[in-house]
Amino acid sequence: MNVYVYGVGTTSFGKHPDVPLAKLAEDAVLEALLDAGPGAIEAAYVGTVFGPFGSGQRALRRLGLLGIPIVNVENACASGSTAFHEAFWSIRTGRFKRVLALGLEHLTSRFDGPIAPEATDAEGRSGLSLPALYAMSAARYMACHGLTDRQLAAVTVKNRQHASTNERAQFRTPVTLEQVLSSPMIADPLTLLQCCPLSDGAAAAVLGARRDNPRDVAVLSCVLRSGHLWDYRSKHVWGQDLVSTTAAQAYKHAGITPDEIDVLEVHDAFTIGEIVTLEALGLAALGEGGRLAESGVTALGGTHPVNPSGGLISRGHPLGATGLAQLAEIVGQLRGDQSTRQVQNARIGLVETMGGGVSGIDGNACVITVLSGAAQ
Amino acid sequence: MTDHPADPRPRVTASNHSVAIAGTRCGSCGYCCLDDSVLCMACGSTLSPACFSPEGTIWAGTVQRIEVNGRIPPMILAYIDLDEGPRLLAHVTGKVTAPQVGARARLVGTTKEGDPLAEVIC
Repeated sequence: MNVYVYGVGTTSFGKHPDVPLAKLAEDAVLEALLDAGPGAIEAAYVGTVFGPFGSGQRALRRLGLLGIPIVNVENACASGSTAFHEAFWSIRTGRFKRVLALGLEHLTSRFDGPIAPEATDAEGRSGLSLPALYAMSAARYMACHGLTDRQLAAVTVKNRQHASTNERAQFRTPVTLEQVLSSPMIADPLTLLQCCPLSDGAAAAVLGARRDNPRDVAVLSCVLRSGHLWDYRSKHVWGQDLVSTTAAQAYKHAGITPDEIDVLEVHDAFTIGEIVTLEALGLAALGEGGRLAESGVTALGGTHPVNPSGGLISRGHPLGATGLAQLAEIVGQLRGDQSTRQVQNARIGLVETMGGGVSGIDGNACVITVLSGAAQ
Repeated sequence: MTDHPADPRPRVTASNHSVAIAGTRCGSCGYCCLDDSVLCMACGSTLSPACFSPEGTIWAGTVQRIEVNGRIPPMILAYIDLDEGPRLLAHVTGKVTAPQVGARARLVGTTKEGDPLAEVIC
């Protein structure tokens, strides 16, 4: 059965220490329900990383969305995307006719600095933070492929520029290359402005079978994979093989090639992440992804605009909500709703989310979704 | 209840000026790892205990300049591919700069917090 996104909703993203998690979730869900139009929700799939147990039930209680299957999922930063993936397959296989996917996170109530590494994990116990993990990918790229500091910083400059017209983004002030490079060093060579912020927020989508509504966006494919071992046999930096193999399957299921994608939202938790991911998605050859942002290819107006919402670096990264926030942006793009950041004639869109953090494997999970709207 | 009942970090031993690191090697496919796994993570066969020599090559390195889990920055970190197989994350002694990709390194023991500790040797 073909699957469509009927409606999407999000909160604004940023630090909302005084707003309860359930209120954030309600705002996103209500917006998605109104966007989708009338119809009973038959199941809900809810992604969060640091939310309380029963996060979905807590989030949906005051909306009366109870008495249905509510499934809570965790897959690190890909938790919201995993919830969407499960929602997609529940429609695709005919189990339900209309379901809700929800992602939510309230990081300011859990952390006042960087996310603490998991101490039951070998690398976490040694103090390896996620910025440092990504920094080592950047260092490897600089040594092996000639990636430059300015190419890294160009990713932030582009995504900040994109976010400047996104009223729900956490950071809307454009920055220069010099500002990015002169911001405090977090993990060499990544500076503060090359790292995603601590964010709160929620995002939701309503999915269902075909109903011939012109605003519905078709899901051409949705693929979830977890990483293989990442060890001394791995020739590529952390996560690259996982994104690549997930993308190959997503393209095959959707019947498209990378060249056909008009707009993308990808996992730029750190600048190097966008560069490595775009290579893995086939938008650049290995080692050449650094040229994309620098040359304008991935900017609005370029041939392959990437992260028009501002990405994780500028829109914000409320972990469990991120995948559905990305999805909401692409659905808006494929509907032609995104005003000054609209990609003209966007017909095919892609969402990629990467979750990581377990030592020795090439990523906890990667989810890639390919969507199609009517040509504008 | 303890927060962290077992130390998951690689087991580095230092005695008589000799440093080694304990792990396992697969008798079937030869896969080497530093976990005390029951079965080979690559092929599922049985494993034998192994002891790896301390020298290797830097895969990548960084200087972590933020405090996490009470660890005081800066921390010099590197992935090192040991000559006899496993890749491990180690802290690195010496000046506060990211260890260079491709440089040779040698495990010298553990930090006072119990992390594998290496030095760059050329």
